Amino acid sequence: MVNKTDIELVNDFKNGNISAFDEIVRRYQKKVYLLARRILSNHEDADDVAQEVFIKLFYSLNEFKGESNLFTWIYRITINECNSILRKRKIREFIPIDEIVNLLKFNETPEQEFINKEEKRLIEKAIEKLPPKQRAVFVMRFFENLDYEEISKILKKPVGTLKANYFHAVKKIQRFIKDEMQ
Amino acid sequence: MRCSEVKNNLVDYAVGILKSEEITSHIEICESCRVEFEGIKKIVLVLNEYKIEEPSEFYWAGFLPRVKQKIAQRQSGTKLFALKPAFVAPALAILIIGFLFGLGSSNLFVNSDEFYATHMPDFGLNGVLIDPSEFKDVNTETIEQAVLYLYDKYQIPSIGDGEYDHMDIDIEEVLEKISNKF
Repeated sequence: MVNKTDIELVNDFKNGNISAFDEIVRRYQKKVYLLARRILSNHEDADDVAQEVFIKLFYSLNEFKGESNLFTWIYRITINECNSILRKRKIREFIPIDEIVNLLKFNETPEQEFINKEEKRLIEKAIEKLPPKQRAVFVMRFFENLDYEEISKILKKPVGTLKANYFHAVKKIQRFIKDEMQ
Repeated sequence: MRCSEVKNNLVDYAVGILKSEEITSHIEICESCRVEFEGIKKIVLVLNEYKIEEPSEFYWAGFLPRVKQKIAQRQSGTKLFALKPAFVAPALAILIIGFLFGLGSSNLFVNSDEFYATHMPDFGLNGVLIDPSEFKDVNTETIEQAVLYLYDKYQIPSIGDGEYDHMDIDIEEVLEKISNKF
């Protein structure tokens, strides 16, 4: 089962072999979780999204026609689920931003590990400020290293638009961090 | 190369995944883009330090079972509201009161592979079933009451996760309630 291609697994599933679904989950669970985690910035929401993605996949896999990669399809569901969470839930606030900034200003202290965590939170805060579409593009391009063609298939947006989104996303992160540190 | 085109590729160039002599030349002569590039280089360094703490192996070991359990719960939810005679094949002559993982067969808990095979082949689920053939005079409303009672009291189908074990189910009590029409 582990040596089968995605499309072979999908066909197995369609033919009634549910263990093919298990293999698909095992194959993509970490990718889905990490994508959601980077977009949503916390484990609880990422966990919810990751589970929901595979539940939706289970019910819709029979309709998968193979016109795109399974990977593209799964990522599209993930992005939609993340956007749904972003719409419905107010992302919980982390520690006050001033505290993070103060810590960053003294980043040569011995408590480097602690400071790194705060730096991480500042970055998460900056990512959270991005509009959902820019956030998705930024995460998929910067952290997932997906090429624009793949992102274009997932989001159904032209490459030119994605490149502009990516640039503006990074600029907004840069501006946010700079403003907070002044 | 125009500035807008350079900027749309500047993050990739700063990250190092895009090599472009055109951009290199442009940056040398265009101060605006050069300043932009220096700023993006700095933020890319910060973002490269951003690492996510991934969940433990324990989390991943439980991920697929949790997904499957949720799928089963949703299926059972459907069944709960599909207990009217029109939806239950008379030949089946069994009342489905919940889906559970990992239950063995006993006098009271019957493997249901055959039934589930029509819905979820090879999914490896067992169900909690009661054969109501001995309750010929029991109407659908009473059966539904029994189902709701079991769901409510024993948190079926999440029984394995809760404070109850499936063996805690007092079937005799339920049967008595059915006989007395609650």
